Amino acid sequence: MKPDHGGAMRKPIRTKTALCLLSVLMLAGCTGARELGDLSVVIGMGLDASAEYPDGVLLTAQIVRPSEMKGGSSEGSAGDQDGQPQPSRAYWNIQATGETVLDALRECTHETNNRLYLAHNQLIVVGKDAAKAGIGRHFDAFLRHNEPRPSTVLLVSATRASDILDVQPELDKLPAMAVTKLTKTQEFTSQSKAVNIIDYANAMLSKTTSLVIPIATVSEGESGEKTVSIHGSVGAVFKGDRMVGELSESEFRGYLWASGGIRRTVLNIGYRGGRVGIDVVQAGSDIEVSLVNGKVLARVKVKQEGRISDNGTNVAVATEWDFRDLEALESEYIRSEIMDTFNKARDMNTDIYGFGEMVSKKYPSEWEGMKDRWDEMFGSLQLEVSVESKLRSSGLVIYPIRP
Amino acid sequence: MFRVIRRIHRKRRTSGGDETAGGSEKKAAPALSGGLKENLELFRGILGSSTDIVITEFNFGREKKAKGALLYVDGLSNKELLDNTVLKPLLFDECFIAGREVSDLEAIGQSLIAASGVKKKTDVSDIVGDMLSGNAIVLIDSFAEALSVENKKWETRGVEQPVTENVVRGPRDGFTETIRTNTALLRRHLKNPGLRIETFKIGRQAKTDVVVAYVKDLVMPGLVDEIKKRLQRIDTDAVLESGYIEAFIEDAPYSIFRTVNDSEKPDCVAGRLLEGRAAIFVDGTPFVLTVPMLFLENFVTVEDYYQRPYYSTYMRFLRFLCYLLAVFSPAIYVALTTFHQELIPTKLLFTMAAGVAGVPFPAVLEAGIMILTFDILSEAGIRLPSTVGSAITIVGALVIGQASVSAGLAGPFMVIIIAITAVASFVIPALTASSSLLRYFFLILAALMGGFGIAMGLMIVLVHLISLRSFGVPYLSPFAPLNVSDLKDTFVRAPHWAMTMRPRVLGFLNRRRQKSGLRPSPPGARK
Repeated sequence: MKPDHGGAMRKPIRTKTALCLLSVLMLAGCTGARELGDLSVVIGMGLDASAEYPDGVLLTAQIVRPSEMKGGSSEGSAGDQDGQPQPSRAYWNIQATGETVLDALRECTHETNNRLYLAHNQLIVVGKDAAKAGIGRHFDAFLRHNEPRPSTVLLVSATRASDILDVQPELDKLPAMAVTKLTKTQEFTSQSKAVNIIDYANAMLSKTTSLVIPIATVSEGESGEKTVSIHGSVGAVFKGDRMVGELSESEFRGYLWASGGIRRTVLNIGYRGGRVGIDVVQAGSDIEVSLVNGKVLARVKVKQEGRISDNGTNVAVATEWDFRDLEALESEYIRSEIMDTFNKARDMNTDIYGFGEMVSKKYPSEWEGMKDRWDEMFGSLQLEVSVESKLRSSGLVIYPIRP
Repeated sequence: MFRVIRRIHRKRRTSGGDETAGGSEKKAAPALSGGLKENLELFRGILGSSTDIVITEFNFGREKKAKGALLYVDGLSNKELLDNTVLKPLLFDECFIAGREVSDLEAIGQSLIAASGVKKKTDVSDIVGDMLSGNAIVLIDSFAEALSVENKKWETRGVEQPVTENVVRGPRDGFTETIRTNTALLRRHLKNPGLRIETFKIGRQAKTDVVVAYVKDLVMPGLVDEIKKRLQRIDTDAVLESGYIEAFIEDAPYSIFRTVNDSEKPDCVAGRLLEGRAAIFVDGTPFVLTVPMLFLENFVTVEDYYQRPYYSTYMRFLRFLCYLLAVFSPAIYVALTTFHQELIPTKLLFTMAAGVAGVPFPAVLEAGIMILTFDILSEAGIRLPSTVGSAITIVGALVIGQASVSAGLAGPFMVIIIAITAVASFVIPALTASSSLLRYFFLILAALMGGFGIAMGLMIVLVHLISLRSFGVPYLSPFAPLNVSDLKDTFVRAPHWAMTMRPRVLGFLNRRRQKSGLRPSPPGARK
């Protein structure tokens, strides 16, 4: 075997060609280069109805001040009403109006020294008035533009979006990050569920499904400090892109039971003279739709598993028949929650569960004739709910430690 | 445009062609004559009157009538041995009669001189070469030949632990500057009758001994012939170090990657010879070359084979990771912060942005300055005498670390990146040189085109690596071309009982290394 001589210098013409091609690539230059110091990182945005442009938007963008992020106190000064940026604040809310969202974003450059950078935007809050007027035309930018991420969390504000972004949180430096985390933390009670742009897009693409977006409220405490919470009226129901109704905490949970969105929650069941607290660890639902006599029948099977975490009675509830009784009570409780929510949804004529999509998948040929009449068909939809509850343990203690 | 460049090329090539190295005309070759005095004059003429060249004339034989002379270089010869084994027997001899018919000087060498390694030489340049290598030359009147006696002894560094290759476990002997010691050390580690040692003398102004060592039944066929061919092509002033040889025989002189490996440890060289390679020793340097070389050898140390396989495997992964870190860290940092800020986790982005708040340079300049500063400090650290070494480490830590950040020359993040890069680049000493250069290459590409630039640069380097061959063996074996059975000694180090075959590209003459089924087990578990 003769050893081979490899190497670039065998054909000089090839090297020259390669060099020429390489230098052409260098002509591309540094386009798209942005230094870290030239970024105005936006972490939260708020959309409100604008007085100036009836179809337009009043945009509030929360920009981060990186120098204030490290160190400094995390408590902002409370009660600063006129929005003057205080030295200890790690953010700056800038507002601008425009006919479209993009227009408003560019308007912001009249006040800042850098162009806004949206790639790290965590949150989009929509004011209630703007939500009721329709959000479809505003959200197109967030899907079309390359910078915003599809995982951005959506929220509706009980008042104006800018109010939510103005509240200095107790444990975080940036309101937008705190509120985003707040939205995601709701999964521990499952009375609300975080929604992002992808869910929004899926809901909008479907002609029948209604989206439910959590509502955040600004509440004022005793000494005047403001906090953002998701409480009371927690769900905004949309028909198309307009907000048409609200769900309370239990109604939102009823919706989540049926659609399988429960992560963890707590059930308080009255039993034997006290209340037993059950920690639901796992829950899921199976929905089956069928057409019966031209009407839609939806069977929802909910399965959940929990454990007793709080025994408020003075008897041990760890026996087999206690468990069976509790399970039956749980199932009834969940069933009634689901039915209550369904009735409300039917009254509002909003298909929040996505039954329409399921019918269209299962009966594609019949769907052609039904899809324009879905509103009416949803009104006459029959729901059969069956709940299977399981209790797995009674925790670390069997007998309640009581006198 | 190319035509113009080509014309200039051609002109340059023809004009510089007549200057060859040396350029000496042929002189009439000097020869020995039968007269002692003339021969001594000849040698004095060639060597001059250097005071370390000793010419001793003596009389010996019956009635001390025969005349002889002893020539050697003081400092290179073992004077004691010389006196005892050459001078003494000659001086004590009573039988030799001058002028008597003794056909051959060799007879004297075989019967009178009490030394081994006596050779008869007639070529003057050969004799002079021998003398300068330490041999002693015996000239006897009326003979036109000389006897060259092997008699070398000089001050040399003892066999000690090699400086550049530290091992925790394993033999600590390292090659020295004397080629004979080195070949002896190799033979100590590789007692194989098939181990061949072939010597060449290379160099015009200074003939340096160069030895090619290989194991006859294991070496890649054709390799030794190719090496000899390339060595004989060398026509230079002097070969002062194995690096000179490397430069003249390597396959890709324009590449930044080495295609010839070196080592200071005899057990390392022995291991490589057993895989089918050949070794090249150069007199005067402890660095022994081994060819062919695979890219993989940069990540392999001989200690891997002495430690347990799990640890060695982990170390191999670590070395590979460190190489990636050393080459790509600054480039990735610059690419991410300049072009792809969306890839950085949100909280980290704020910290980074806060860090570069006071820095007036763009990220690429920041990185370039810091890399340069670090390279300056590390180079200075090598050259410094040990007495001021500690001062420089303090300055280095302060300068690069604290002061740059406080002065606003660089952000704290950049300092960390450069620190990681620097430390990682020393994990693989073989690749420190090439990684320093590649780092700049990728940095510039990243600054121009972000992640796309890095990908392009990576493609260029990969294509180059794949096209490299070292003495006919593809550089990226066993990855490209893929050789699954050889992968057992790349990122993982298979236990010794599993390595039954030699690497296919190198050892195909004799593939089987050991018996299969050699995995150890306690007596109860065996069938």
